[in-house]
Amino acid sequence: MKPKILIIDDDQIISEMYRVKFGQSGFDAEVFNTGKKAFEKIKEYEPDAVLLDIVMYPVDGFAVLEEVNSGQLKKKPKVVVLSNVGQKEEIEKGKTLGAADYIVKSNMTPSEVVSRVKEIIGE
Amino acid sequence: MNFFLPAISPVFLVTLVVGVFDVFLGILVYGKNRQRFVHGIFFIFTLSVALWIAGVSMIFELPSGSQFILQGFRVAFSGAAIMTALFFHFAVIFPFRLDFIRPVHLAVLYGIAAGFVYLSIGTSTVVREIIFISDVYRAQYGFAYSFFGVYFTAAMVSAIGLIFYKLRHAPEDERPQVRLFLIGAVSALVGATTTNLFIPIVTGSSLYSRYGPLALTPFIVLTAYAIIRHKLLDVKVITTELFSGALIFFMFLQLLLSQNAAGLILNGGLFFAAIVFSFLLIRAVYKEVRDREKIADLAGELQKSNVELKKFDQAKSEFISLASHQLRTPLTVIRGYLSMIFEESFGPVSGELKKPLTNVMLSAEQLIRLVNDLLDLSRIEAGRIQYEMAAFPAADMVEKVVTALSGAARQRGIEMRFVNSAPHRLVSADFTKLSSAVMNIVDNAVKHSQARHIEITLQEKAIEGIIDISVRDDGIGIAAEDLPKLFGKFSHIGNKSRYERVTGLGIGLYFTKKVVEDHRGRVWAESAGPGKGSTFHIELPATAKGNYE
Repeated sequence: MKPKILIIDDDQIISEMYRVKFGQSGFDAEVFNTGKKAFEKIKEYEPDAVLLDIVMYPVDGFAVLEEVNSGQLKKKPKVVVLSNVGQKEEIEKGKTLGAADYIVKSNMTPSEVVSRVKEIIGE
Repeated sequence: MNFFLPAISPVFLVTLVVGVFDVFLGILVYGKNRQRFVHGIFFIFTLSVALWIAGVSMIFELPSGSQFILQGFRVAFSGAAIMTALFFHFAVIFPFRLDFIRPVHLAVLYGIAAGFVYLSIGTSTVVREIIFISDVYRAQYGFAYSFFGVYFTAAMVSAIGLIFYKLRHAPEDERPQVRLFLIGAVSALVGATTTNLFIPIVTGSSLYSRYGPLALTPFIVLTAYAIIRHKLLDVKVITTELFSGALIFFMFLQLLLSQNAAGLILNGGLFFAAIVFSFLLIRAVYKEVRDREKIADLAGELQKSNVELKKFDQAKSEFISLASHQLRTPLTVIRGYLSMIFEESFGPVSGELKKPLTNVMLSAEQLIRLVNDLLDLSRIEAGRIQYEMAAFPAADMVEKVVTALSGAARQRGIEMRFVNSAPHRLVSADFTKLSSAVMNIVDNAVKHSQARHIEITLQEKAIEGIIDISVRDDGIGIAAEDLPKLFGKFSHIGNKSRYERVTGLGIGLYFTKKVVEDHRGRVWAESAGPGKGSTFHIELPATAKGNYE
């Protein structure tokens, strides 16, 4: 069974790029372009991993991360924050809120992101 | 009896000095600022006090039985009537005006005062007559005396009420003045009313009225002080000046009351010493207070500046955060899709396409490094650089840099080699940032030095625990006068692209210097001159963890 990944990013070009790459790398990949109702989508889709952008409006990635770690999910996915805001405060906040990793998008190619996610979920 | 004026009683002498002193204060205050109405009112008030003192002095100093004693009473009441109205007016306007007391109210008050002046001097309705009984006289008051009492009490109590009101509503910096004014006013009211109104009414005797002027003096002194020393009302200064003033005043009285020539000389010496001592003391205290106020002002300004700086720093951080996000987003797409094209995610890539795509990829990666370096530079300067320290072999880091630039070197026909003489030495550093720092130097050598050979050497120095990374090229070299400028921010020397990474900003070597120094190392360049190549050195402390095998 293919591992499932949900890509939550309001930038449609970037999210499509990751969807293609993860799809080609053996994942079932879906995209969700807003933080609003993202938690409901996670509940419904039950992914193994979530790629989560931070800068989204009106609901940002940190709010989604808090909901994921609130204990309300039957199947809790590994959340990898994938954002271009790479300041120390944001990285620490992400890890405090329970992110499995924090990646600055521009520092890694899509292949490198796929490899990292595979490491995290144990594929 | 005294040395100077044997015929004058001590009480009268003191009263005379007080009267002169009060008028002197009035002149001093008026002289300070003739434009301000409050100064003028105060001056006229001291004149009305002088008139009252004159009347009181006539009552008590003229020989018993003199017909002028009655005139003295009338003059005293006239002075008191004017003084009352002026005191109320002063309470309305000092230190700030109360708008709910209109000019028409003051006009009515002055009208009443004028009425009592007329009744006092022109009629016997206030003081009817003086009766002498065995050389002791008693004043017989007319029907208007009670009205005068009501007028005087009502005006004084209202004035005190206005001062209390001002104390509650005054701005912070004017409160000390109002307080002084209030203390003086209350003490004067109690003293003067007791000696000149209550005791005569209760006992029928005016004997204690002669002490009325003395009761008024604290009010005049404190109010004059409040006016003149506006905004300089430090408790230390006030206390020192009042103490010194009192000391000088009593020394002066002592001098006037000297009984003989020896006493005169002694008291004169003490008086002179009191003046000198007071001057020196006041000057010292004043200087201390002034210095303290200056420091307090500076501290206040510093605090304001700090608040502004914090706001600016916060705004700068927010800008950097926003700018980095906005710059990185399109770069993510460019690099991401390019890498996927190279990985043939969208189908095979022809050989002819690979080279131009490689160039685009390198440029995208360069832009990404630039953004990261700019962000790191901002954080370095703000003292908020984020280093992630770890121990690793220095050779691994240098190897990575050489590998990253070997393609570019080959393209330019440059022979580049890495001589590793300290393969096992560890450094404790931020791998990414230190790699960037070393990369800047090697990149400059590859792209801008026009060298044919580049040798990167890693070795341990003769000094225990120090490793040296040197980058030597046989390129265009550096002029001696340009060497000190190499690592400056935004430095451009000679041909501006020669020694800097192609960032257009001139921050590469500055960044290198900052990072190396933050790792307790040092960086410098050597060159025999133009055309003779150059060598860049980075020295770093090796970690105490020892060798990596």
